[in-house]
Amino acid sequence: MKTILALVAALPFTLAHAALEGELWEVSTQMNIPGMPAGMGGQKTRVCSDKSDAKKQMQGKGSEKCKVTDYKQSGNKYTMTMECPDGTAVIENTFNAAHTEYNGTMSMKSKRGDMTMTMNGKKLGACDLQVAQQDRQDAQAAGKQMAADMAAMTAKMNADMEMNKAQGFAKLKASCDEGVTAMDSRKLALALCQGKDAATAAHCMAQNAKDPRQKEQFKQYAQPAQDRAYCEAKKKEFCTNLQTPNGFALATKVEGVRGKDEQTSGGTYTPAPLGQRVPASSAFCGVKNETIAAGMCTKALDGPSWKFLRNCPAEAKSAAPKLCPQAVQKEEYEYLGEFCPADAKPLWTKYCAGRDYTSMYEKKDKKKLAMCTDLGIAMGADEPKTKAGAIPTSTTQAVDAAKQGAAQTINKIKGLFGK
Amino acid sequence: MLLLAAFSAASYSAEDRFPRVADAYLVKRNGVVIWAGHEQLRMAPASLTKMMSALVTLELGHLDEVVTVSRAASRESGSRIGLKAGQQIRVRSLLAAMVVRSANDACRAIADYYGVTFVTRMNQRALAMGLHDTQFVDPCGHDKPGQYSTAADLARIAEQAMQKPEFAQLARTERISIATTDGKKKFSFTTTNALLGRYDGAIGVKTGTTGRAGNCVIALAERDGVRVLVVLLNARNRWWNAAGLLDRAFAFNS
Repeated sequence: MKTILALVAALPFTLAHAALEGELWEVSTQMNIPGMPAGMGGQKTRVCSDKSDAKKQMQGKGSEKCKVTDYKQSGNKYTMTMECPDGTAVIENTFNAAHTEYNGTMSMKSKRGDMTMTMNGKKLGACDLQVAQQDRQDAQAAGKQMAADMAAMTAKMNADMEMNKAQGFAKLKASCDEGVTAMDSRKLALALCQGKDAATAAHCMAQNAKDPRQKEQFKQYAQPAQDRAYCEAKKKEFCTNLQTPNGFALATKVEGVRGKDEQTSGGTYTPAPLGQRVPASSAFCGVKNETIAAGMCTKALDGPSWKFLRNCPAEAKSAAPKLCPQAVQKEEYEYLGEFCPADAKPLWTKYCAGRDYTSMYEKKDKKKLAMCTDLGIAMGADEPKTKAGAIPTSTTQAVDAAKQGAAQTINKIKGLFGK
Repeated sequence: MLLLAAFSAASYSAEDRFPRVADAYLVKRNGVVIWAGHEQLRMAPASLTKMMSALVTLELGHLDEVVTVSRAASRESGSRIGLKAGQQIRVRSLLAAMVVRSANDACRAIADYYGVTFVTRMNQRALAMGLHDTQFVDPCGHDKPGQYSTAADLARIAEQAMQKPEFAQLARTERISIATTDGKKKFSFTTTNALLGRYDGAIGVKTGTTGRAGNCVIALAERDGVRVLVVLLNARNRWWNAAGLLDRAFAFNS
């Protein structure tokens, strides 16, 4: 572009008579590129040119690399052909009789395509060549500085991108570790470009994009092969853990599948059955939830996974004869409190009976506090009942009536005795 | 007196997981019942009654009105702060004593101040909430014929009361001081709720004990966005069991 303008601006001076002062021209240009809207990029510039050394001017000012190969004059029409690194430029201009205006075209044929420019020039008056020269040099220097700044910024952006890429890959790999530790299949799925979250993830675009250009563009963001292999191995570990009571319990917590709300029954809640608690994790591992859940309670008994047995009250209860002694030995007081009242009682009697919650708390014995809290659940039914009990509904009024009647009778008797 | 068990027609389908824990109990997690046993059984509510008394007091308003303690109030039995007849004290202060210390003298002073319709208002409020298994005769919870409620109803009353900021604040207060309006007599007392300040997340609600009701408690705790309400009516080991149920409810489904 600069080359073109320089060529255009320089043209009048091939024609003007040699003079020492500069001539100020206003040059209007419009580009026409095949396939693009006509007349785009319209510009108006003012150029102060040396009319005394026109030929030098024609070859300089951004067109240093162009060479004039042909030059013709026919009346007021001037034609010049130049060979430039980008291609061949042919400029044709026609001046008015006073050489104060011209109309013309510049055609450029290059590897990148052809282009035509229309131009109009109008001489405005005289100008100071030296000032114009300085302005051009300053503009060139500023342009060079800007180009250098841009290059530096681009280099920094590229370096940052590379660093971000490296950090991104490290994060993906770490998320595979986290996925196993927390039993969160989403973290692994994203790293392995599975699931809906992966649809727009940069590291998955190379794999998922339909446009070949996009695929190519995002190739650089794809996870390195060794990282991917690492995450695949972590997936296997996740799926193995999912089949254990502890892993299953963790995944249950992550997925948070809600059970059944019975609003009509006064607002009860029944947790989802085991076979419905980890649908996403199961799908991630290519297995049905029901399949993973089947036998989970049996596995929990084998451990035993004491905490998981909360989910298996029927199995935990039926295994009590076998598990209660183990629970005593392992100090699993929650299990003891719920399923082993006979085993819990001696412990309760020894450590908790007669000691109230407040004083046990004040002693700051967290272990005993937790133990008595867990065991206390079992202690109710065997201890002597208080006088408390249910209030009969059908007899409440009967009792009141009876009391009233009794009072009336007493008063009558008193009346008999004159009291 | 013959005691016959009576059950309402409808009952929860919640699991009775801990039948030994109390004569009647109910556990709610984030507003839904997860375990319950005999929760529709009509029982003496003891001082859990005071939740309704507090609710009605708050809804009547006039908390800065000055109450002259009645003789009847000063002669109240059971839990008391030691009010004397003729002392003048604001409704707000009496409310604090009633909720925090379960003080019967403070409760009676409020009831007498509002007049004979106070208990009627309590029953109307219960009906308005659809609590057909609840009836009050005594505003402070003394065992009286015709005074009954259920674990399920009491849970609802607790939830309603806890929606009142003033009640919620008192329910979680461990110790407080009040004074007569002339400032000459101060009363300092601590909560009857042993879980406050001890059980992680405990924020309420009310205790109750009478010969007929046994040891009762409504415990509320909140942790990490999970809210658990436990109602125990006639629990042998009230605090151990409340804490035990709270622990299990927080761990529920995990």
